Amino acid sequence: MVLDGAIYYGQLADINPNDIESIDVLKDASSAAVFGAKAASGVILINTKKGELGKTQIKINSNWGLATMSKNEPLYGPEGFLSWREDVMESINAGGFEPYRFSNPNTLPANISLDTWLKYDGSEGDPETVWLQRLNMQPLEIANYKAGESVNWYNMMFQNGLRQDHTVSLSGRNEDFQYYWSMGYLDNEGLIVGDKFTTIRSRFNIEGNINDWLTVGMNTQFADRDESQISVNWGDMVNLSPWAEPFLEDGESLRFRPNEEVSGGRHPYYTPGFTDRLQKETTINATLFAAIELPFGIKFRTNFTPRYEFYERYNHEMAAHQDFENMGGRASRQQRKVYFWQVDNILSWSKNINNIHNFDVTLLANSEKYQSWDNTMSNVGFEPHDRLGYHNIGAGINPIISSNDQTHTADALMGRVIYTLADKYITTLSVRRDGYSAFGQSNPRATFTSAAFGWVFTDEDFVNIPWLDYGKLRVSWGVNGNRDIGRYAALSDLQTGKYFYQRPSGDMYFVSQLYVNTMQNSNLKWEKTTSSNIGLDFSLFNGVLDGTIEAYDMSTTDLLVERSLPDILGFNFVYDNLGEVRNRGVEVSLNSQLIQRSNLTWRTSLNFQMNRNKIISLYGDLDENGEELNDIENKWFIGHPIDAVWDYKTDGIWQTPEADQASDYGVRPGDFKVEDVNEDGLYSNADRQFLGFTEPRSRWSFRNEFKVWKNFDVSFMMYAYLGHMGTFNQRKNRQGFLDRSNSYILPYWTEENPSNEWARLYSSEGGAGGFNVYQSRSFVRLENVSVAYTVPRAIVERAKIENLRFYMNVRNVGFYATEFNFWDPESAVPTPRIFTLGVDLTL
Amino acid sequence: MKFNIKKSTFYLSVLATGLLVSTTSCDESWLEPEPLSFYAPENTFNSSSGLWGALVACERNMRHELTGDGPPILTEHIFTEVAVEGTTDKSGPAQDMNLLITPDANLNSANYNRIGWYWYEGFKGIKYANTVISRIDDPTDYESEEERNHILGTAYFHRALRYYRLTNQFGDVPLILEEILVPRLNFYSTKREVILRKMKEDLEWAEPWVPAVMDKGQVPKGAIQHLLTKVNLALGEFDDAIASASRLIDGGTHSLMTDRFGSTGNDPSKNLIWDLHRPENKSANVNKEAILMVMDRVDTEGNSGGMSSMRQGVPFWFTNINTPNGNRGTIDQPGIEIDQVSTYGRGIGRLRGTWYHQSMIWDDENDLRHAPGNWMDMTDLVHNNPDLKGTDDYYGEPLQFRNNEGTVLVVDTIRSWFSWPHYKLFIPDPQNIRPSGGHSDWYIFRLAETYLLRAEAYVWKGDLANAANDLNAVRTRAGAATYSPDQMNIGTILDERARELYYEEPRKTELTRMAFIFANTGIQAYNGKTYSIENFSDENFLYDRIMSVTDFYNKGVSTRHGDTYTYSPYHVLWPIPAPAINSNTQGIINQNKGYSGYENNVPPLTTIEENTTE
Repeated sequence: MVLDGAIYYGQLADINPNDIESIDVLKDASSAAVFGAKAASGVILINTKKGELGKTQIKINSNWGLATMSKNEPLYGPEGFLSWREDVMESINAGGFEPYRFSNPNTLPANISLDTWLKYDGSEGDPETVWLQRLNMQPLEIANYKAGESVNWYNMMFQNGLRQDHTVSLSGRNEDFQYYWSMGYLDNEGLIVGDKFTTIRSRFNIEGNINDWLTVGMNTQFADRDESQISVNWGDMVNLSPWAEPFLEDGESLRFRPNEEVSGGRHPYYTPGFTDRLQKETTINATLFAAIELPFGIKFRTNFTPRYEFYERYNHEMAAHQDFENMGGRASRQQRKVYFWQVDNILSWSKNINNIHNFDVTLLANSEKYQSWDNTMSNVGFEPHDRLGYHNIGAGINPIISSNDQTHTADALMGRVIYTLADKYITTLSVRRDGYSAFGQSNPRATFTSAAFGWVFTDEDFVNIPWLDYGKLRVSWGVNGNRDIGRYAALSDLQTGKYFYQRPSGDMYFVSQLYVNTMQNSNLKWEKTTSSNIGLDFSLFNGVLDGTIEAYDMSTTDLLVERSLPDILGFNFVYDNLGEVRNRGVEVSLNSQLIQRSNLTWRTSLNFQMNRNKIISLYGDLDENGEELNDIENKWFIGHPIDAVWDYKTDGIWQTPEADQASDYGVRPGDFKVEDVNEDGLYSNADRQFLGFTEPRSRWSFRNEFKVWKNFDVSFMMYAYLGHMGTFNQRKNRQGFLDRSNSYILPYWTEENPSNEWARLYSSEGGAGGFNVYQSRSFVRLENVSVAYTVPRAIVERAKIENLRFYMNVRNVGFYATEFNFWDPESAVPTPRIFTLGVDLTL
Repeated sequence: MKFNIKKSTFYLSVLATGLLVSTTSCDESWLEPEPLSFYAPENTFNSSSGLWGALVACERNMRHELTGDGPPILTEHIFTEVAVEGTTDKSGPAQDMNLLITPDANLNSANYNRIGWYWYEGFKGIKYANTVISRIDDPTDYESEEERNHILGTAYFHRALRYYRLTNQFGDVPLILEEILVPRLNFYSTKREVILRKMKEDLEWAEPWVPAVMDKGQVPKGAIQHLLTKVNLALGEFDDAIASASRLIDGGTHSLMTDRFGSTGNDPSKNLIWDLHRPENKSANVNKEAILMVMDRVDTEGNSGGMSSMRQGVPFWFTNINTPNGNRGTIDQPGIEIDQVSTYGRGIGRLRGTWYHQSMIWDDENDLRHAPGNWMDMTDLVHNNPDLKGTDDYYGEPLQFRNNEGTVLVVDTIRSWFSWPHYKLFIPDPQNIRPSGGHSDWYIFRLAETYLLRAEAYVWKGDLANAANDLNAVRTRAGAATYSPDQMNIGTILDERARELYYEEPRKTELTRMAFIFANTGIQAYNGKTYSIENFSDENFLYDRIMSVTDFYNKGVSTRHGDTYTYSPYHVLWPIPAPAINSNTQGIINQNKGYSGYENNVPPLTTIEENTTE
């Protein structure tokens, strides 16, 4: 990401969207070359706002919103829970049990007397209690059942989150000076109770022309994020019985384990209630620049871009919490400071000869340095009590301190020539040399070149097609580098850790262990991607349809990978530059101005992307036939995509008539059938197959914008990811301890109600331990619907208002997934649907 | 608008600085990687303190076998006759061995088994030791030649300890004798005997250089001698085994504890066996029986997650047990009137003792290892559910297996009903209100085992009188009556090891070692059979021993979840985890017979030299 001309390493959340003037995406190797190392997968150029000529402006943008649950995933309620638990117990005891043992005693058939039923385990007394005990319900649950008091844990987990976001900016410009200053405050509550995030952001951009040859300026961004909030542990809701007891005897204090069974879940509000946390990150990101105009059309610009990051996390887990009671509380303090700077010196020269030949030459020298300092201290056993929390960290009995400082350096030299002939033929040549300290032992630097050619063929005399307004053909070729690897990945690091010995006197003392954690590879070097692009930009029918078609073929060599090693080395992998991966793809984007009348315009755009990748070679190790060997541990196979799924294949569920065949595999009806390809009765790599891909085979997006009666803007956007797959092991129905927990309402196999997709409760995996169930992850989502109304100028001008606009939008409106319907098809967790109302005001 | 001249000067100076920085940036030192918070091997392992630190990694690594949930030591037990995996409500735990113990299965998880842990951590320990061995002549700051050789000898010990285990768990394995600094993928397995012979040489070299007394947590001479005794036995060199064990037993540094001692020594309600296994007594200077320890203390940096011994080895006693009146009998609520969870822990019955371990081996009521208070039977627990008070007469009365009509009152008799050695598993756990077994030093080598190793060597030699002497030293110390020489055989040795070393010895390792001795020597076993190395994976002493005494693998017992306990002769050697074989693309690591992949084997290497050449 490039922010105001300098590479930006900070967080996207620190940039206030209201400060953004423009966003551009560069993809081909030639345009990426300018930004080098961090641009291998494209560049996002973000420019922030500047003052505009005219009067001083104040802009106010305010919006309020609500985050609501987009899709619920319900749990069993009090009654459903009991019948589900009956099925759980029957499936756990698949080894055999007496008839109706786990059934409600009121439903016994005539041939089983209550007495017989009770005697199964020597029970006497209240049959209902006996039944509930056989369902492994705890005394508290039984008491609540008898009292008819149940809990809806689900509703306690989620909330409608309130959101607000306000930005005020002041900007202005005259011939010599311009400025833009904004302040923003954002406060977002999430879907989960307790989930909250606030941030304060400010930006100050100034630029002054000192004289006719010197311009200086500064863009500064400040952000302060508060992430102290602790949300409730919503994941616990699945474990909690609807008959559990949320409170202690006083009816007020939270019960740590609501059914007093260790595996029966914890009260989701308990831990947040006994945790005190301050977690903040403050960042300052600035670019200071000066530009000088020299004679002969030569310009010189220098950017100095410092970034500061201050992170602090103070945490106290109170002794009043049952887990920390016997530890006497636990507290920690972590502080980290990051200082990063980069300097860019850019010399450029522009020359036009006779309005035919145009030269643009750019030379760049860059260097950067990253430094961070991180301290952590923690303690337990606070005396005389822990109520000062992390504020008096020294009061504990087992202080542990640690630090982790890091640094890296990098530099670059770049030269680029753009030669344009008669505005029709554009040739770009560039070469750059990048250096990075992670490769610093042997190969710190590498050189990358690129070339691009553009031809505006519609400007040719011989091209005269009436419906073609504009056409440009682009061809580019280039090499780019990737350094996306840990700062110290090439080094073997010695890990330390404490241990202790005891002297004959009985005194204990500490010693430090030392062991080599990662295998070093001092020859580690830049990964290189050579890409060829061909693109066509066009505009047709007097601007009714325009678009871009782009095709690329990228070959990445010297990939930075974790190469698997035989684990007997004591290392599982080493970082290495190996092999070749090829990516080919097509991107098409089409925009159309379908209707353009004075009271109605309709603009629609469609975007399509697909990418295919293939491993061409890996480590160059050959088998006896001269074929290159695969990396089976990483599941990388020559000729297959990196994201290929190579695994056991499930083939439905064993049904009751197939019991004998199932037992050959050590399982029984209701368990998953796992394909035994070589039919040897065992599961090994010989039984794994290529099943599909984890990355979408195609991505689509579709956007429509309408302008009605000049003042109303209406738009909607949808996108789809198609053709990929993911694991969904919930279908094995063996998550956690079903005899102690609750469950999502999902289908399961029983003898009476068989399924071919869902296993029995607590199913067996047989010899294929840990196998995965895959299903399609394809989906389409209606991502955004928005409506805006701009108050007519004639009205607002009376109030000395320059512009006034109201808007509302809905994000994540809905989705459709072919198979994957557990929470959200993209993330598999609860996602919000966000309603927003806002106003933009310019004074 | 006027522009501040000072500001422009500032910008110009920034510009100048920028130019300066970017021009100086072209020299090579600018891009030298600079590690700030971690040590580099080159400048740390070139001093004696660096090599001592590497040895600490070896020592700390030994502790991982015993700590955390589902610790590896359980896997060493369930592959023998003393215990089975008792997690009966799901599939996955190693019960149906024929189905689940395969090279591609999950071999390193609390919910499956820890075979893969032994493989991976074993070779890690070898890596740590090889770092020291390869760099032994790098430091220039040794105090003396003795210090150098002491360090080297200790590293030899650690490497030998790992190879002793690996060769008796997996058979032939790759032999790595040096630090490996570049990727290597061309390993071959080396014959077990070749590896063991090299380890013997190394240990014999180390013995004179390692001092008899070291701080607890470090390796003393006795540990070298103890391990050497095991290696000698594994090689079938019984005279050498007797000699190395005798050097340890008679060396004067270590002796069996025969008198009350330590923090509990004055408590008349306790006894010597209790004293011996109290956390605070294990490393005490007065304890002469301890040879090699791993260290673990509460509230101490560098400690483990806790022993978890009660969670693993105590029955799942607090649920599924009714009173004879048909009410829920037990509960793990702490702080109630009859608080049993604080005393015995919240067991989950993962390590379930067999009838052999619970009953068959106990033949002397004076044996302190089975005495009330030290040893717990289910009937020593009482119905403690507070809801019973005033409503059920059995409140506070001992648990019952059946009611008067003979109906079983326990829902899961595998997981929730068995006896256990409380004196060994009970580790106070002040940080958990439902204790699972807290922090404690643990014996790796203890002199009682040395006696049993020497007794075993005498049995192999047929010197039954001396065998009985050594075995009886351990028995009489525990208050049990002596055995006569004619009762001595490998079975008696194994019984005594089960009494003395439960949750301490790597029993599968030792049983396979004995199975190898039977197969290599052709000595007739007490069951009348002789064995051969030729068909070791089809017929061996370990399998016959287990099937003759276990009450699970030989009876088609099923868990309530419907999984059957099975076991086969080829389990005498564990499967080599498939990832090791798959990633070793330029060589062949042999798979053991009985597992898929065996068909790809090549003859193992038979010399050291073949190994070291790339």
